[in-house]
Amino acid sequence: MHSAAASEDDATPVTSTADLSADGLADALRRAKNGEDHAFRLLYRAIQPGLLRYLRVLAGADAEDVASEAWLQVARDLPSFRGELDGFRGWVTTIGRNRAMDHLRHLRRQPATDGPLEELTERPGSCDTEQSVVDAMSTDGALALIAKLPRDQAEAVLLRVVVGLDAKGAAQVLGKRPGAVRTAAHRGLRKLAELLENQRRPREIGLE
Amino acid sequence: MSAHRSGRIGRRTTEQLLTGAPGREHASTPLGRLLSVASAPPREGELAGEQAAVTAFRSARLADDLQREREPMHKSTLAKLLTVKIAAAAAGVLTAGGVAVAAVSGALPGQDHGAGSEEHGKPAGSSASEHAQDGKTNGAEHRNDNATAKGDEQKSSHANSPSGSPSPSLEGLCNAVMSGNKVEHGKALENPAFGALITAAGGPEKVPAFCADLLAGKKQEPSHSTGKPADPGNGNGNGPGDNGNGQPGKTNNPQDKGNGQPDKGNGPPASVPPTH
Repeated sequence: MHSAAASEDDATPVTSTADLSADGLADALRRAKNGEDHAFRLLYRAIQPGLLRYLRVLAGADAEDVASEAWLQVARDLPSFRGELDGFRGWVTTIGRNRAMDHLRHLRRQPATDGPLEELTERPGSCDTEQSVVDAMSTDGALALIAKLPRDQAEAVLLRVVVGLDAKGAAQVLGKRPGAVRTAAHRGLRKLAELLENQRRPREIGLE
Repeated sequence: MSAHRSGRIGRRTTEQLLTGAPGREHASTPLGRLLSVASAPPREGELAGEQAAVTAFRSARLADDLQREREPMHKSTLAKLLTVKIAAAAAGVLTAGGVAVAAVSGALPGQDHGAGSEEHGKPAGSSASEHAQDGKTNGAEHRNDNATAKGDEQKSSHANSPSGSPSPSLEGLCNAVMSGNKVEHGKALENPAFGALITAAGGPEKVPAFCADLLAGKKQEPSHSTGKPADPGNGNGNGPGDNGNGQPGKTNNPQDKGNGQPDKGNGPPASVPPTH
């Protein structure tokens, strides 16, 4: 699964960004609430990639399944959603996170760092140098590195950077205060910078 | 070099990095590059579930539609039917009952509403009142729009009663007005809820006298209230309520009225059509 995804890293984006501007999406949200399929499709395209990457770090290889479950729920419950685009993004993400937690519970795993996170983080480290160059340049490589953070930091960074929420929105998803999320994200970035330095060959992993 | 830099990540830089708008010097750092790669544009595989999601959306909407059709069909259809019948009934009574009715109670359609509007929505209100206005060729001209527009099915059940006696709710309005002190009288009468009462009395200044007569007359001639229909609870129930606190503002808040429970509004008139 991961290797398949990694091999597609350089695939051209399949969505037209023209459709995915903030205004366009706000409009799509209104139209989706009126039942328009295509509008819902646009929302999916805009939100799913970031959501899936976030869920990868939470649920590892099961992220696709978890995301699918989340979208089923979103599709069903959209009429009950009240709010604008930012709120919608957070709402979808919250649903995804809840599904991920359910999933992890179902697997009788702690929803902590010892499960899927390591599964993902081991990959670049265990690869030979050449492979790690490719991975580190890829989205998956970046996610793998973020997944090495303590989970609260990893989630804070992912929600902000990858999902695209602001501090408040991320805090709502996590059920924390914005200040706590800011701190976690800040620490996460510092830690990431350290991890990058510890690679000691930043040029080789392609991030320099 | 980069070691120094990473140690100096400040809050502002953090925020810039997190929002994907790092300053130039940070965008090119390993960290900046990492974050931008992490949030790179979507790849094909990441949207693999698109069709499934859209299909789920479509079937969810279909299910919603089905349920929506099934559920309120009865209610809304019934409501429409009743509205028409009630409107016809109200108009018929007004024209048929004509001046005699109007002379005693002034404006039957309006008189109930002050009390009735508190409890009832306006499901039948608009069309009923249109008819009511058509039929109303008596001296009730200056009954204001509020008064007529607020009518509901209660009105027509009263209107159907063949009585010349004032409706209980008119008494309730009187009670409400008379119970306050003089200053409050004046204020209360500005309240649209009392439009019907003012109309019935023939003017705001005549309300006290009218009410005195009305209330006295009622005491003398309780048997005269042949028109008390099957729902005295509405008129009576509301009247004393107003009366008790002397705050008519409570009764006629248009918002309250607008939010009235349509279900409730639809219920009672089920008994109306047979009478007509």
